[in-house]
Amino acid sequence: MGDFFKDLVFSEEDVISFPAGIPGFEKQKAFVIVHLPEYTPFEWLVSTDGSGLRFAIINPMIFRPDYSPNIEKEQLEDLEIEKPEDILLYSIVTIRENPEESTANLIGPVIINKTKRIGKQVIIDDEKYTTKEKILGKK
Amino acid sequence: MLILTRKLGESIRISDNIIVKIVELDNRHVKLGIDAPRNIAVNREEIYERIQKENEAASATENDNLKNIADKLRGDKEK
Repeated sequence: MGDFFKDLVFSEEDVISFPAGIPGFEKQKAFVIVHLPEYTPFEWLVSTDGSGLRFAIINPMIFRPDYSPNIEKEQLEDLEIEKPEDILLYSIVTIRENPEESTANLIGPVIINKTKRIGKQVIIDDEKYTTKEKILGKK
Repeated sequence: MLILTRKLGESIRISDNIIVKIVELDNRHVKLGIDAPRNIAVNREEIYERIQKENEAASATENDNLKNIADKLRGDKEK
């Protein structure tokens, strides 16, 4: 099943560069977002290097409509964002066998400039959130 | 590891563009001021490690488990 992500066919223009990689996976610097109906509202952030590395991601507003991370302007500077519409915001999720134990990382949002196709995982300095926020149950 | 002694108000310079200054000192805490180019990420070490660990756990998410919770989330909406 992992083969799907290893043998992924994608077009060059869909590649999002992550110049710093992702903490823990600093060597993987290019990803594509894969949207498959059976996983909606989740999407996959898939490394293009054929390693099979992929993260499940979600727009955190779907389960935490009040999510408002405190992101400094400086943290986004390398994303070259010109207008708010350029921004995509995702959380990486850790899904367990028991869905109730599944969590989203709300202090490490993934921010992508969809126009320039540059992304990074930003670490926010905010005690309101943790790396393990329950996805189900909290509204 | 390079170890330097600094007094309150003194700084160190890393390369030509990063300055770390001792801003406040008391018994067990040191407050540092960091001047670095904006694209240099500065994070508390333990938080960076926490994010690394969480990413490692996240990368082990199984497809079927994701499908399962995706069904639940979609189900919630349809209610």
